[in-house]
Amino acid sequence: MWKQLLHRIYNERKQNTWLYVELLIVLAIIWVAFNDLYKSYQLSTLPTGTNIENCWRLRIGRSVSTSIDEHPDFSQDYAAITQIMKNIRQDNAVDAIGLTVNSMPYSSNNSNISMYLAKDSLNNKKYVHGVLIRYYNKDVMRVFRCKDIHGRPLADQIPAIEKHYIIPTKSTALKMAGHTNIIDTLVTGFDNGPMPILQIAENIRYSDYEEVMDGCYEVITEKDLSEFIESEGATSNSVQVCLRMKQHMTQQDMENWLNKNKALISTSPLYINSATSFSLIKAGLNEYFVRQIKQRVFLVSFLLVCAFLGILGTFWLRTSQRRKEIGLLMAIGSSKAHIILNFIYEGLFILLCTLPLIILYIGYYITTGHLSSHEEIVIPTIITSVLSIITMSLLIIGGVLISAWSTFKIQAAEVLHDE
Amino acid sequence: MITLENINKVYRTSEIETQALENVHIHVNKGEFLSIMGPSGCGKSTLLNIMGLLDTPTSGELIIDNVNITSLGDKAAAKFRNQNLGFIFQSFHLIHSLNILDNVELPLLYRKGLSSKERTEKAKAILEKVGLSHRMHHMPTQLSGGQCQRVAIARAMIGDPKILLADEPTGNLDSKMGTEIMDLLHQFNEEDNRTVIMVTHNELQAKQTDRTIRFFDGRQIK
Repeated sequence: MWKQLLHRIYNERKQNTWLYVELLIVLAIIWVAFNDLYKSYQLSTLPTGTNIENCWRLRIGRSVSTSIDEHPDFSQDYAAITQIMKNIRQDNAVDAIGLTVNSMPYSSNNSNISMYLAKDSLNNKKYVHGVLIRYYNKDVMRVFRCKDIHGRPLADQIPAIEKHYIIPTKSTALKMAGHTNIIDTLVTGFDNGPMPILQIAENIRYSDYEEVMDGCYEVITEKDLSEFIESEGATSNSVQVCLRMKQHMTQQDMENWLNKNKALISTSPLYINSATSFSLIKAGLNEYFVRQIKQRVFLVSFLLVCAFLGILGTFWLRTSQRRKEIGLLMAIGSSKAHIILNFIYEGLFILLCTLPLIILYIGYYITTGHLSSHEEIVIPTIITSVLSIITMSLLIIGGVLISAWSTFKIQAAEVLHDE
Repeated sequence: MITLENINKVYRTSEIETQALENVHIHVNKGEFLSIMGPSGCGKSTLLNIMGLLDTPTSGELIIDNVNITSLGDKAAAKFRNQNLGFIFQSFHLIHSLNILDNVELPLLYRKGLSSKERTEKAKAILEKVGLSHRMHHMPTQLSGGQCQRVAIARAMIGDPKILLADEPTGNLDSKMGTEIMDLLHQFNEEDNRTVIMVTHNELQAKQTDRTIRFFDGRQIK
């Protein structure tokens, strides 16, 4: 049977070449769509460099109101918020609490800078542009469990004596120096002048659906925080009090906890107004990407339907042209199932002929890929290729089945009769 | 060998009902060469298709070799056709994407227990018998009408069928080729005692057969 099948495919090579080209194009389109979706899925499962489990953002309210005309007095704000945090930290349910400025994760108001190693000569500077910067002290690092490239907590590595340090992420370090052995090296590009590198942090991503971006932590001092808060006020949206609880809590649990600890969370002129979980903040930032992915899923579904109709049309035409052959095969003893199987084998064999090209393309794609590791490119490429081929096979089988079904409604005698 | 009892065939559409066969009773003996004659549309090809299990009667029974095969399922009917029946058509119905050898081998693909080599040997032998061994690697389009029909006869005979059903086998051929084909059919009928049932418009060819039955408007008139 295979001999006849191969002879037939070869003898109809002109017609089959067109079919081959069509299958190859549809396969390529399906692969691009699947690869795009799979990359989004894969990104959503990768670590973001920030652990927000059981973490909350506390919003600050002011108990003493000031009139519009009156110049606001923020001189007591830093002392008050520091006292509130100290009180909260003493509660057994609390794991860690810290204060940061415009730097909490999953927030759209993180800043970017450009930086380079200070020791590099003027002509040899390797600027890294668009570096996401987060101003964290030891407490905030404890809240978000920031880690170095060896998986050790960064909070434990910050010296007791307060000083400005920079902790670039791995990707930033690699771009600046080509390696990560740059601890204690000075980095330039900041308002505070060159700062030494304290450690190299693990990579960070801005959201669950974006690739690793260059980033760094600037270790801020108490002086930095107090100056900012006394100038802008603790109720400014830029001031972000971040809290990690020891156990999971619902919104209602957190509200109950705040109500129960009213005395602890209030120090004139400030008090804790409300709490928002970071999972909710994250969902808000991810919403845009999720909406985009949903649109892409819709487009891929539409594409699959179009591809199916195209394949169905092709095989319908192919099967219709061979009605007499079907009649003859039935006359000489072939069952309907056998005929359908033969047509499916033909389609699948031509699909199989696209494999060498696919393997060549995968090889090219892998060797010229921009992603950093083989796990990120080889496995997904193979998975999406296999998925695409399976989908194409199903489309072919469906196309043959539907077109053959309509042909079999006609008796073999009708298609063989010549009168 | 073959018995048709009270066979009726009605084609129905939403607007019209056509009685293609009406109360047909026929018995064909083993080894008999039977010809069926009649004007176009009288039901002779329908009858042949019913005998060949390519069509089903609206009512009546078809018995071949004492087996009632009217109610055979798709798979069983396919197996029965493959093992017992050989078909020859007016338009040859060769598969143009296969060469002559592959075309002749086709019925053996549905037989279990035959190796590819055995199939090829059998095909070569039968092509030798019909005088086309030198053309076995040619494509059907490279052959004349008479040669195509000889290939079709070789394909019909390769599975050693007990019954050969020929639907106007010389209809598309000139008289010389027609005679050659008739000689081949007689040869297969006489040498191996096979039953041959042939639909024809040719009175001369019908006279060469053992018996002729005639149809008019779906009814057997003689």
